[in-house]
Amino acid sequence: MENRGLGLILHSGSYDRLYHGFSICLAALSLGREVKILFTYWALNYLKRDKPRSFYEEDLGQEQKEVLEKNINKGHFVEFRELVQQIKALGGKIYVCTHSMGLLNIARNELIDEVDKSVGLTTWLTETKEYQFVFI
Amino acid sequence: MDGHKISIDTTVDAVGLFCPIPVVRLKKELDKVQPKGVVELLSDDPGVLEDLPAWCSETGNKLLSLQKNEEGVFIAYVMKERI
Repeated sequence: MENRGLGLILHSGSYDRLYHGFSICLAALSLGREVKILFTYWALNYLKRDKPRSFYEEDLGQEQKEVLEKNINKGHFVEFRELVQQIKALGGKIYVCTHSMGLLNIARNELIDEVDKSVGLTTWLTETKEYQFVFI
Repeated sequence: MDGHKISIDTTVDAVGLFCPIPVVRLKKELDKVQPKGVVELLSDDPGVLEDLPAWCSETGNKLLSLQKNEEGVFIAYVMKERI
């Protein structure tokens, strides 16, 4: 079987979902697969140049927060911006959804430079026609 | 490796790092070495037990050995086969 690409749509603003989505992408890139990530809705807030959303703002219970913070300090967790750089270094592409940007009133220049392009769904579906899909 | 010493080009210390980072780091280092070069990987993530053979099989590289030491750290040697 050919090495299919992976199309990941990141929709949720929950850090755990985003983080795990990125882990799936890193594993796929390590297998030599192409990866294209489309940020929609609440996930877009993590790509903001100024005051990006971070997991610390998450509505986590105190116990969950303590576990996560402890493991971050031990070096188990990687910060979001570092993850983005790892994805890019391995050849992954980061797209943003123009529809969501319009709804949330986010302009392209408010987003970090690692974003490859803003696209509509037709472009996205055309470019990922043969891909395996994951929606998070 | 049946008592034969493996010549290592580089070591990836991924102890303390979760899946999929050990495999991601291994790939990065394997990309840098010459064909037939060997990368040593240290990891305490039990996921590598199945992930490493799967990754090697999928990418065409060779898993020379994968063992657990007394401290519970998995030590693997992977040879670059795909050029």
